[in-house]
Amino acid sequence: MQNRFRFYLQLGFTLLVCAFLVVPVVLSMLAGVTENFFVGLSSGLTLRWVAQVWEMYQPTIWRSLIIALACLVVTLVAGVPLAYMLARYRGGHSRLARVIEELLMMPVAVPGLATALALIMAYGQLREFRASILFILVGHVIFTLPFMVRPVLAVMQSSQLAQLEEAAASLGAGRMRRFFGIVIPNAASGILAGALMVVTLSIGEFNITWMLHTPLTQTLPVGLADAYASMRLEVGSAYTLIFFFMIIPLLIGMQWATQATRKKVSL
Amino acid sequence: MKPKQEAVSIRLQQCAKSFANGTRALQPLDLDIHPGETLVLLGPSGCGKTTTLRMIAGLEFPDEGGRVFFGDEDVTALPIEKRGVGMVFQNYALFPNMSVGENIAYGMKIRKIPAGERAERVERLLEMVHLQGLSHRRVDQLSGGQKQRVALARALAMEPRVLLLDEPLTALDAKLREAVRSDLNKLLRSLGITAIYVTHDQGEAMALGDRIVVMERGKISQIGTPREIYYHPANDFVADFIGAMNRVQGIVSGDRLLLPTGSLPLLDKLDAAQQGQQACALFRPEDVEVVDVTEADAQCVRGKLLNTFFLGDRTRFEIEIGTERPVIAETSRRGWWEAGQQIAIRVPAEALVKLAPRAEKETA
Repeated sequence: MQNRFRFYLQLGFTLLVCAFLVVPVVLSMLAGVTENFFVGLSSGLTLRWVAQVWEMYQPTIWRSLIIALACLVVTLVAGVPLAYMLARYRGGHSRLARVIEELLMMPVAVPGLATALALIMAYGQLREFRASILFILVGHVIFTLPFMVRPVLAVMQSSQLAQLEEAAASLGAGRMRRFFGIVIPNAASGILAGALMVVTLSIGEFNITWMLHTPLTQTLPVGLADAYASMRLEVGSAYTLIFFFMIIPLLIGMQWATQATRKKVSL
Repeated sequence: MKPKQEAVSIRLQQCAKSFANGTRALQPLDLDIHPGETLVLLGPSGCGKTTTLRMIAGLEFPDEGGRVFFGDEDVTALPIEKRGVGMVFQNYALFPNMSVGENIAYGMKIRKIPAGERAERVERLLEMVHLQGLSHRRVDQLSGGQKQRVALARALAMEPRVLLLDEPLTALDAKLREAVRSDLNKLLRSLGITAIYVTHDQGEAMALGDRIVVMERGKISQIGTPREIYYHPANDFVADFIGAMNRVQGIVSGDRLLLPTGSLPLLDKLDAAQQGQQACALFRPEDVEVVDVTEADAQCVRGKLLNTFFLGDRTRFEIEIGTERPVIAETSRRGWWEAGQQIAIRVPAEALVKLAPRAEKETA
């Protein structure tokens, strides 16, 4: 009897928490397909708003995707070797590694606004650069780099990976060969986890981007703010809907990839 | 598979190792390893045995002034990938992203050995370690014993000058350890390769080593064959670390050592100056003869049985004879003994262990 009561209590609490998380999202998504949000669902469902957003803001969506992918490439190329060097410097766990790791985290703690202002002060004079999406890319890389370095560093610091490398060295493999043949494949779980974070953070990034963008370099979240500020609530909500449709398959796909590599290479 | 080159000797000359934080892991150390022998580095954790092995491997470098030679070649400055050594690790260190065959072929691929010959050699190596037909298995589908065999095959694939084994059997369970140890022993003998084997397990050291180096706190305590080390330990540390050792104190009287409840023979007749002085006798548990009290004579020491441990193939006793620590005795006789009963022991003179003279330790 008491067990039963406890079960329902737990179930109720779980549902409450779920509702707390899900209800606003569902409301927002519903708003995007409602004829008139203030009248309510009785006004009827429509895809009009979605179509309007698609027409108006399509470039911001592609731009966000391109920036996210470019950001991923840059953080991979810069972050993975950096994590490797930090993990191997003086046998790992050196003070330098800790200091650099903390420094990398700084842009996460500092308000995005401040980071963006610093970038504008440093590079604002370079007109071409300032006006291109490369400028936004720089902001995103600064913000997301620690999210690549940390999980990769954690895997690379494992004593087991260090030993695999020693084994490869004993078989005659030089540093480059060990890095590409042994370290990268066996650190794949960390690299994928990092990649997942970098892509999602870059797609959703608002603070830095909002300061850095020009009317011609709007990204999706900036466009979203624009839509909510200057247009009907339904349009903004439809925009959110599109964002969800974009990000959810991406998240599931990367989650699946991470799991698949974890299973294949269990360190 | 015979190694291509003749077995190589290894010489460490004044090799010391300090770590970044200033701790001395290894005192300056000289060591000569004969071509083709299996040398075991034995000691408790933190004694410097692994550091010594890693210095020979080229994974650590000795402090200024230390030199490492393979034969006549000075390899001190060479990193591990240039030394031509094969290495087997405690946790196998097989590459999880490759199959068994790819693991074994990794070194050959680096040396650009043609694919056909590679496959052939992988087969031969698998056969050598009794794993025929497992070439395509994934590494995580192997048992611990199989993994260690693959690691061994991989280390031998490039026909290394030296084989280095870092506690290779520690991760295996007891029964498997014995089986792999026996195979390893046969393999090392048949290859005639110079091998260095690190372990903290004295049983392993005795079974595998042509010679054993006992290490303690960054120094060599003794170098010798298993017999020398067991029967003639150089000092108290070796005596206690290798096997079990009884140590009783008594007073010298004639050619006997007087104890509270009897006397033991003395190894040598001590000179007159030592008569009446305190002295120590060392002997192994298996050399203690357990005697029924009713049959005890003047050569015996009487005592009380504190504990018996039935170990299957033998029985171990703890016997209180009025000395500081109880005496440990072992017998393979069958019988029934009970804690608390009176008992006597006899130790033959030839069973007493004499510590090797100091001089040997100095030159070691």
